[in-house]
Amino acid sequence: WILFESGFCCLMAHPNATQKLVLQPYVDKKGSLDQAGAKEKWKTLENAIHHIFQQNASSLSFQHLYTSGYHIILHRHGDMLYTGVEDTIRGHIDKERDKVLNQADASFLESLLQHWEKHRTAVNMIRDILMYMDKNFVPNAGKLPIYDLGVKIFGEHMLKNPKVSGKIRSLTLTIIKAERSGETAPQRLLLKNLTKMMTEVSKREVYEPILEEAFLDDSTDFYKVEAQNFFSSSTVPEYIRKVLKRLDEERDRVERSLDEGTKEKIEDRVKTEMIKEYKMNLIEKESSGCLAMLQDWRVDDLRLLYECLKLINDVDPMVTQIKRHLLQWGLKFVVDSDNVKDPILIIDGILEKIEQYKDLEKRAFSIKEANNKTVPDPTFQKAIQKAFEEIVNKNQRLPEFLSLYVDSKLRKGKSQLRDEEYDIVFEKVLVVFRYLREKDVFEKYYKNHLAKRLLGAKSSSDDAERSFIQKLKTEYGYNFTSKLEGMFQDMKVSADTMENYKQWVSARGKKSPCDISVHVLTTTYWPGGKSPESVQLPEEVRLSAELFKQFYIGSHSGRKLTWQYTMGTADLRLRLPASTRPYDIIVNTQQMLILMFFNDKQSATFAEISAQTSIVGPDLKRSLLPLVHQQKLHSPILKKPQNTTIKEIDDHTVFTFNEEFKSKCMKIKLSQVIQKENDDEAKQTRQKVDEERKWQLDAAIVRLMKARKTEEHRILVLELIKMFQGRFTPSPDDIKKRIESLIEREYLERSKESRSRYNYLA
Amino acid sequence: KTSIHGFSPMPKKKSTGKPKPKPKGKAAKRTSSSSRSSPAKQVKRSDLDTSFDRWKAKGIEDGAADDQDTLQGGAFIALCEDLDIDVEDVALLVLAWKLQACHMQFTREDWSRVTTLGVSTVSDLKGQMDGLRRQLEQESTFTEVYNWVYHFARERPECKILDLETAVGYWQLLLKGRWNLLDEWCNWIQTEWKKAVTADVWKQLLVFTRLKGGLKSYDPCGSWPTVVDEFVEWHEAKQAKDAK
Repeated sequence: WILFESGFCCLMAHPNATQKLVLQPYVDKKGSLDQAGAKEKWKTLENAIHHIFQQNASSLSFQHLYTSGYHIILHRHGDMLYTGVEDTIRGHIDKERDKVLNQADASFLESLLQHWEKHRTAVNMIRDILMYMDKNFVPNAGKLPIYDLGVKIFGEHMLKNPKVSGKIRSLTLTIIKAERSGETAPQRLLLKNLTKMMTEVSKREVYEPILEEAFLDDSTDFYKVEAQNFFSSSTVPEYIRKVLKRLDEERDRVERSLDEGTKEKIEDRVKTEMIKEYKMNLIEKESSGCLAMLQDWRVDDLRLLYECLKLINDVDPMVTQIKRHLLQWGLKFVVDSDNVKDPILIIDGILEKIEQYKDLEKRAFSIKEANNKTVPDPTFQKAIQKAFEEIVNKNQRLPEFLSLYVDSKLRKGKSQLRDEEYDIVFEKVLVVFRYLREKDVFEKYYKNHLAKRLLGAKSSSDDAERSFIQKLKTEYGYNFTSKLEGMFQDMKVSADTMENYKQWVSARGKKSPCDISVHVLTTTYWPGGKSPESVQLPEEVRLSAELFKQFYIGSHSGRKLTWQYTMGTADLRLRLPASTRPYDIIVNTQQMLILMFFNDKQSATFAEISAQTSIVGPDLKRSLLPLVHQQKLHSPILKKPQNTTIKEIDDHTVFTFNEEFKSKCMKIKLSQVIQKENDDEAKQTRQKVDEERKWQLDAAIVRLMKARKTEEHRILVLELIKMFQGRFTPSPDDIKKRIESLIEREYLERSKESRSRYNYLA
Repeated sequence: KTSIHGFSPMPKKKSTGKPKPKPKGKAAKRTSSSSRSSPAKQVKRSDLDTSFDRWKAKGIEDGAADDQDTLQGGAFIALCEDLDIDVEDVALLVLAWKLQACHMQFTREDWSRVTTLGVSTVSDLKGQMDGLRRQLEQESTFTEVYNWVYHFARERPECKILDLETAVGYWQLLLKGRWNLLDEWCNWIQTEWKKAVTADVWKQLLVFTRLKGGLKSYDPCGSWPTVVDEFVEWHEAKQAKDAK
C-alpha cells in the first residue's frame, strides 16, 4: 500500500486484508444506491479532491473516500463519477493556469514545472482513492485511467493553451539563443525537465508542436544568418571548422536539454543551412576554395572539405573539380611540343602525378569503415582513374614513350637501378600500362627496344628483364609475352651454338678471317628488320659469315639463314699514321661499313656512302651522327662541312675522314642511345600496327564464326571488342569493314532470314 | 549521257583477216549443244532462233567479237528494235533475269529459256513486254530482278566488282521513282566515295531504300555496310547545315 507523503493516517485497511482490526465497509443498509445518493457521495469525493489539490489532504479519511467510490461504482454510477472527476480536475487546471500566466517571465518556466509536479502528486492520490473505479469501471468503459486522464487534462488545458504554449516557446528560444551566443551558462536542467514534462504528456501533440518545431525553425533562421556571416569572413577551412563545432554544440544541446529524437532533425537543419546551401561556394571560393587548395596542394584542407561534404553525402562537385584540374594539367602536358622531345620526361611527369594523387587519395579521400579498415572513396577513385586514362591515351605516341622509359631503366648506364628498385619502378610502369588503350603498339616498340638491348648486350640485369615480362604475363596472359620470352630463349641457344661453332672451327683446322659472334634469331619472335637484301661486306667479314653459315646449315638442315645487317656491332681497330697507338672503336654494322669505305677514300658524299653501304636516308644519318660528333673524350672520326647542321645534311654533303683524330682513351664506344622515332617512322610503325590489327581481326572473326556457324552482328561486334580488350580497342566501324571484306572474300554471307545475321561459309 | 548498256561500240577484238564463214544451212538448234544435226533432218528453225542469228550478226557488224555464240553490244540495239522497246527499258532487264543472262550478253542457251515466257515468235515476245514491266510491281520480283542486275551488269566475268559508273547508271534506271534519296545517293557516291560496288553493297542498298521510318530509324551500329553509314552521316550533316 502506498503511504502518502502528505500525512494520511497510517492506519489503513484494505477491504480484503485479514487483520486484527476488522472494520466493516460502510454499506448502506438499504443495499442499493440511487442517483441522488450517488450524487451525495460524489460531493464528498469532490470535496476531497479539492483538498488534495490544495495539498491539504491530511484531514481526509482514505477509507471513507475509497468506500464512497466503491459504492458508486458498485451501484452503477460510474459514468457520473468519472465525468465528475474529469470536470473537477479540469476546473482546477483552469485556475492554476491563470496563476501561472500571472508569473513574470523570469520565473514562468520554473513555476510551470512546479505546478506540474504538484499536479502529478495530486493525481496520484486521486487515483489511489478511486482505485476501484480505475480497476473495474475504466477498462470496461474504455476510458483513460485516472493518472493518464490527469496528465491529459494538464496537457490540453495547461500546456496546449495558446498563451501558455506561446510563452513556453518564446522563453525557451530566448534561453537557447543566449546559450548559442555564449552569453549565459546553459540552463540545461530547466530545459531537460521541461522536455521531460512535455514528452510525458504527449511527444507528438505537445513536445513536437510546441517546443521542437519552434526550436528547429528558429535554429534554421539562426544558422542561415550565421552561415552568411561566417562565410564572408572566413576562409573555407575556417568555415568548415566552425560548422563542425556548431554541429557538436547542437548535438550536445539536444543530448542534455532536449529529447533524443530531435538530434537528427537539428543536425539536418544545420547541415542544410551551412553546408548544402554553400556547397558550390565552398568549392569555388577564391583563394581558399577547392581549386586554391589544389593549386597549393593543401591536403589537410582538402580532407576537411571532403569530410564536410560527406556529411551531406554529396562529394560529386568536389571530385568533379579535382578531376577537371587534373585533366587540365595532363591533357596539355602530354602533347606539349617541348615535352614531346623528351619521352622520359613525359613518363616521369605522369608517374609523379599518379603518385601525388595516390597520396591525396590516402590522406584526404579515405573512409574508415566499421571494421577499422580504411578504404578509398569510390567516387574519387573512379574519377581520378578516368582522368588518367584520358591523359595517357591523349598522345598517340605514349606507348612508344613508355617503352623508351622502361628501356632507359633496363639499359646499362647511369639510369641503371639496383635490384630492389626495379620492382617498384615496374609496378609504377604497369599502372600506366593498364591505362593504355593501345597495348599492342607498346608491345611492338618494346620488342624493338628489347631486341636492341639483347643484341647489344646492353641489359643491366637479366633478372630485371625477365621480371618485367613476368609481370606482363601475369596480367595479360601467355600470348602477350610468348614472343618476348622467345627472344630470351634465342639468346641462350645462340650462346650454345657459338660454343659448338668454335669447336667445329678448331676441329676443322680452319680459321675464321675475323672473330665473329653470331646470334641466331627466330624470325617470328624478333621485330622485323629493314635489312637490305645484300650489302657489300668487307672481304674478311664476308668470309667469316660464310663460314658460320656453312657450319649452321650443316647442323640444322632445312633452315634458312638471313643476315640482318642493321642489328649487329663491330669492333674496329683504327691505325692512324700520326699516332703510335691504335684505337679500338666499337660501332654498329652499318657504321663499320661506312668507316671501311673510308679505308680507300679520303672523302665522300652522302649519296656515295649510301650507294656503297646500301644504307638509305634517315638510317644513314643516324649512323653517321655519332661519327661526326665531337665527344668529350675524342674528336669526331669523320668531318662534315662546318656550316652544315644535322638537319641540312643531304645527298651532296661531303664527309671527310679526320686525319687528326685524337682520343683520350684507347677504347672508344660510340654511344648507341635509342632515340624516339621521328614522325615519319612513327607513322610507318603505326601503319604496320594497323595492318596487323586487320589480320588479327580477320582471323578472330573467322575463328568465331567457324565455331558458331551463325551469329548476330551486334553480338559479333561485342565479342570481338571483348576479345581484344587487352591489346587495343577495335571500333565497331573497323569491325564492320573487316566483315565486309570477309563477305567479299566469301568467308561469310548475310543470312537470308535476317539481314543483321551472318552465316559462316565453309 | 553514255548509254548504260554499254552499247557504244566495243573495241574491236582481234579477229582474223577474212570474215569467218557463217554456219551453212539451217541446222536445227533447239538446245545449246553446238552439235549440228545431220543435213538429213532439216527441221525448220524457229523464228526465235533466226532472230537470234540476225541480231548476233548485227552485233558482230558493230564490232562485237565473233568467237562466241552470244548477243552482245550492238546486237541488243537490234533486239530492242524488233521488240519495239527502248534500249534502256527495264523490260530488257526483266528479260535478262528471266533468261538468267550474265555479263551483258545473251548466250544461245540463255535465249533458249525465252520459251518459258510462253512465246514462240518474236512478235509474241513483243506483246509480252508490258507484262514484263508489270512484274516489277511485285516487291519480291523486283528484288530478284534488282539483285540479278548485278550479275548481268558486270561485263567481265573475272571481275567480281561492279564499277561505279555502271552501278550508278543502273541505279538510276531501276530505282527512279522508287526512292526519294536516289539522286543524292548517286551524287554522293560518285563525288565522295568513288570506289567500285561490291555485291553486298548492291544488295544492301535496296534494303536500305526500303527502310521503314526513313533515316530517322537508321541504326549506325547495325550491320549496314560502311558506305551506307557514311552516306547517312553525310546526309545528316548536310541537313544540319541547310537548316542553319
